[in-house]
Parts: sequence; structure tokens; C-alpha cells
Amino acid sequence: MKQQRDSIPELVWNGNISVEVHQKENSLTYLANLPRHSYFAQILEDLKQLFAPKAALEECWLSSGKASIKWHWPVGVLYDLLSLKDPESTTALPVLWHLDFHVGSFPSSLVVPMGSMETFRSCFFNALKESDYVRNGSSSLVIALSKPETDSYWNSLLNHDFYDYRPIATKLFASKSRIIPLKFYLGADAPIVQTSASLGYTLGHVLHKQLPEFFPSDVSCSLLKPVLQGIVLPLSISTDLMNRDFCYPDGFLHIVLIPISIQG
Amino acid sequence: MNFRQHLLQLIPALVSRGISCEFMEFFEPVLRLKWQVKPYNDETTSFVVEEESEMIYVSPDVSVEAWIRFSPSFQVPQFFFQLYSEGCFPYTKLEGVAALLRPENRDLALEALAIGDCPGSNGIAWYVHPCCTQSFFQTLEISKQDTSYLPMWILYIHRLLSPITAPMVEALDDKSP
Repeated sequence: MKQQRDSIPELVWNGNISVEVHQKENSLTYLANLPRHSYFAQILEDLKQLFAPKAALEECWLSSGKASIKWHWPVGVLYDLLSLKDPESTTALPVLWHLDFHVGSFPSSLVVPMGSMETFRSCFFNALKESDYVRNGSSSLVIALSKPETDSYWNSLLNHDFYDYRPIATKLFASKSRIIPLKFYLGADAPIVQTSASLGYTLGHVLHKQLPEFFPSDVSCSLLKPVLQGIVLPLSISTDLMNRDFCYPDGFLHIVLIPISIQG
Repeated sequence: MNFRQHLLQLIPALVSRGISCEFMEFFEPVLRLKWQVKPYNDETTSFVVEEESEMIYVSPDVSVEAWIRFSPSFQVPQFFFQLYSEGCFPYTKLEGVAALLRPENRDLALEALAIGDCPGSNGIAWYVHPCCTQSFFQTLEISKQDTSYLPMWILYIHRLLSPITAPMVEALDDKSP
């Protein structure tokens, strides 16, 4: 048997979340393994066809418990934030994330209505240009992508194709300024803490500097711990390694900060 | 002056014009504003009523909620807003937002506006894309320490979003000597 040696970026790319979607008073169930790097925008039309084929797409939305699902955030970020599961917990069961599908009463102050895939594409590329701006002082790398490269990058996201994705991502995420973009998530109801960090430092240094009330030390966690791509990161990890291997396709490092479990 | 001081400096003039102001500082300074305004008055935003045997267009007020923050990515001020009809129904389509603006700005608005995560809350809001703001400041040679930094930027935003941002500009006019 040929031994496969997957790189870390490929292992991260292949991370996925099993989801089960129901609609109230509907006996049908939608089951799928969704890549962490994908978006719920990509399956919203399929869900509509299954549960409510006559509804308008922009009236459809998802929830996880009481939280509305923001389809313009990556699936992996939403799961790390909303599942309330600690990746390090010894009692963690295999993942099956339960979601509810809704039509009507759209939470329009919380979720962007998904008129079409063009809305999603626009949101995605705005985020990618923003991350490029942080790294390079302008969005020129993204703007300079040829049409075939842009389409290839977009299709690699839709088709979950690592080998089309990775060469373009490697080019886009190299930072001329040695600055990288990060977003920290403190809870479903909290605003995002959006910031940037320099290469050549540790995550602990970044957290201690940006959020000293939550990270009084740069070497150990006392209140919260950082989760990226479903992995609890050591504070000693370098920003260089995070930028090289753990970025989401929009170019951001989306880090969810979860409370440290009380050990009984 | 830092950005926090720029925001605080704006508040008295805005409040005197009836604009509700809330200064928030979770992890970044954000100024949240609320006001009512008449949108651009034409058939798309008005409804017809009969008054003394005449049919006239009546344009209902729009409620505006806005947030001003310093973009951590683009390093310039950034303007987010939500528009509500009848006080509670947000405008969710870009074409609907553009229809409330002056006709000569609508095409530009369709290019310059986007929707995304709102600072200081867990919601979403429209925003003026900040990619052109830096060149605006460079053209005018205004530094971040200049007391006119934020007022000049508000005038820049108003050129796109007029008449929705008129109360902010009127407040600045009151303030200037």
C-alpha cells in the first residue's frame, strides 16, 4: 500500500464537520460532511430544494440552537464557535452538528440575505481583498489574479479541490509587510475582534498584547484557549506557521477563544 | 489626536442636531449613531396621497443607525450603516438602499457599498468600502492628527450617501466657525 504523506495544509483542508439539518414538522433530514473551509451558502440552495422548493432563497436561513448561522463565515469557524465543544475534552463524542432550517421571519439584522451565489462570491472576494490589503498594503495581489486564476480559486472552494486551491493560496498569503490578518471570536453574541499581527512572534505574544484581560500571560492560558481549525493551539506556535498552514481560503486566521473547561 | 479623541470630539455637535450618540469601547473605539432622515424624494421612495384634491408624493422618514470605527485592515475611518423603514424593517437589498440616495450617486453606490459584519455588535450592516479612502486623505494631504481629519472624511462619505448623511454634515456646519 502506498504510504501517503499529507502536508499539514492538506490535512487542514480535509477537515470536515458532519451536519444533520431538520426543519420543524418536516420528516426529511439532510445529512452531509461539510469541509471546514466551505460555507453554508454553498448548500443553501440544496436545503431549499429539499425542505421548501417553492420558497425564495433569500427567505431561507439556518440556526444552531438559538444562534442564526452566518452563511458568509466558514463552516469550521461556525462550528468551533457555536458547538460549545472543547476539542481537548476527553468525553468528546464523534461530531454530528444539529441545525435547523427555516423559511421566513428572516433575521435580517444578523444574517445577510442570500439572494444568489453572486452575493456569496462578492462577500468572499471582499474578505480576500481585505486580507490581501493587510498583508501587502493594497489588494493588488488579488486584483492582479488573472481571470483563469480567479475562477480556479473560486471553483477550488466550490469543488473542494486542494490542488487547485493551494498554489494560488500560497501566492496570496505570503506577506510582503510581514503583517497577517486575524479575527478573534469571543462568543456568538460578541463582536469580532479584528486585528493584525507581525510574523516572527508567538500566538501567546499576540493574545497577551491584544487581549491582556483574557491572556495575562503569553505562555499559559488561564481563562480562554485559542481554537483554530478545530485544534487547540499552543501559545508557543509561531505566527509564521499559523499563516503558512492554517489560514482559511479568505486569507484570515479565524481563531475562536473558548473558555477553559473546569476539570471535575 | 488619536482616533478615540476624534470620535469624542464629534459627539457634542452631533447631539445638538438631534443625532443619538453612543461611544463604545470593547476592543476598539466605535461611535454608534441614530437619526431619522428623509430619503431622496421620487416615485421609488414615495407614496401618493391626496391632499386638498391634489395628489402629492410623500416620502416616509428612514431611520438610520450608523457606526464609525477605524478599520484595522485599511487603517482609515470606516462607515457602517443600517436603514430601516417604519423604524424596524432593515433595507436588505443594495438596490433598495441606492434608491434612497441622490440619483447621480446611485451607480457609484452600487460599486462602493457592501454588506458585512458590523463592529461593536454581532450583527451585519452596509458599509462604504474603505479601499478609496486612503487615496482621498492623500489627495487632500490631511494627517491623522489634524482636527479636520474626521469631519473631512464625513464630507467624503456624504458625497456618496447624500441625503441620508445630511444631519451629520449639518451638525459639522453648525460647529464650524
